[in-house]
Amino acid sequence: MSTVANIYDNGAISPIAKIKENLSIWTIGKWQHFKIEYIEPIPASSPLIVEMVTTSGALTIAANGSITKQAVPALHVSDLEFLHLRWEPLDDMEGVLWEQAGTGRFVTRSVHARVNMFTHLRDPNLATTTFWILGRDRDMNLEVRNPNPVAMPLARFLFWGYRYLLSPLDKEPTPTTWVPAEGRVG
Amino acid sequence: MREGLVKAGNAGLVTTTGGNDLCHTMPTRAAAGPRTAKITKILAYNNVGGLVTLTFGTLNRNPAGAAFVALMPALAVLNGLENIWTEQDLPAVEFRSDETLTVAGRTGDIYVLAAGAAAGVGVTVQIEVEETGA
Repeated sequence: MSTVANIYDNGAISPIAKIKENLSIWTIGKWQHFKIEYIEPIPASSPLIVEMVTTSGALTIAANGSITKQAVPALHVSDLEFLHLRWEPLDDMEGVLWEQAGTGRFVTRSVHARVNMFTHLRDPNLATTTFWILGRDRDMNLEVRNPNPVAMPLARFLFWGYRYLLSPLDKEPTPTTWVPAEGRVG
Repeated sequence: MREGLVKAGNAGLVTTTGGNDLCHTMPTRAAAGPRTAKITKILAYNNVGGLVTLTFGTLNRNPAGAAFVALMPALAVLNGLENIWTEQDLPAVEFRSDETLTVAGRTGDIYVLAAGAAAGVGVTVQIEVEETGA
């Protein structure tokens, strides 16, 4: 098994580069360049379970209802921190990912795909749920939809992956690993 | 074999007394695709004092009034015993919505119909379903 993966490898999640290697990350509408100073895993565990019904201030999510997209505080990072994550719902809910609140992730021209409990049945390592968060205030936003015709009291989502610490580079390094950390239209 | 999402019937623990009672409401076409479901387990307890039969089915979409449609043969529920049927015992009847607004239409929601002997005390029923979709 490789220790460094391509960015959407369909195996278990692995770092996409090694310490002291370079990353070129698409964010805020342009490519920015960094050297990796440190990597550590973020194991799937209870602090990384986000329960969106409580987060939204409600007691339930209505039948066929939704929870408006909102930032997830558990995934806040500081500048020059970079999260590399996968995720799944623990309840029969559908998650809609936005990177920056207005830019959909996993979209086509007419469809915004969701992550639900069926995703892992076709993609056991949840590679297709991969996304990144770079730096402070570049948060992901999570919208939740209840596909069930009954109200549900819980909408739990679990996140895991790796945290990188970066130092900025002035110009494009060679070699580098190119990472689209935000949704991109066109 | 297809893989699906296994869950308890979303009506929870149902006490059926002779009418047709809802065990599981299917996700709607607009909300989820739609999904279909098959029953993978039935657990029933009968304490009415005699044998009761349970029949599982759905409702039709008769504009004059929805009626129960049996989709499986009746199951005999013995008195004073837990009665268990698992996926190996049950036919893979797929509950699905058919939007046709006639007696041929189906809501796809899963109902249980108990024989009249269940009136009064009732038979408690819990089902497990496997939903298929994406």
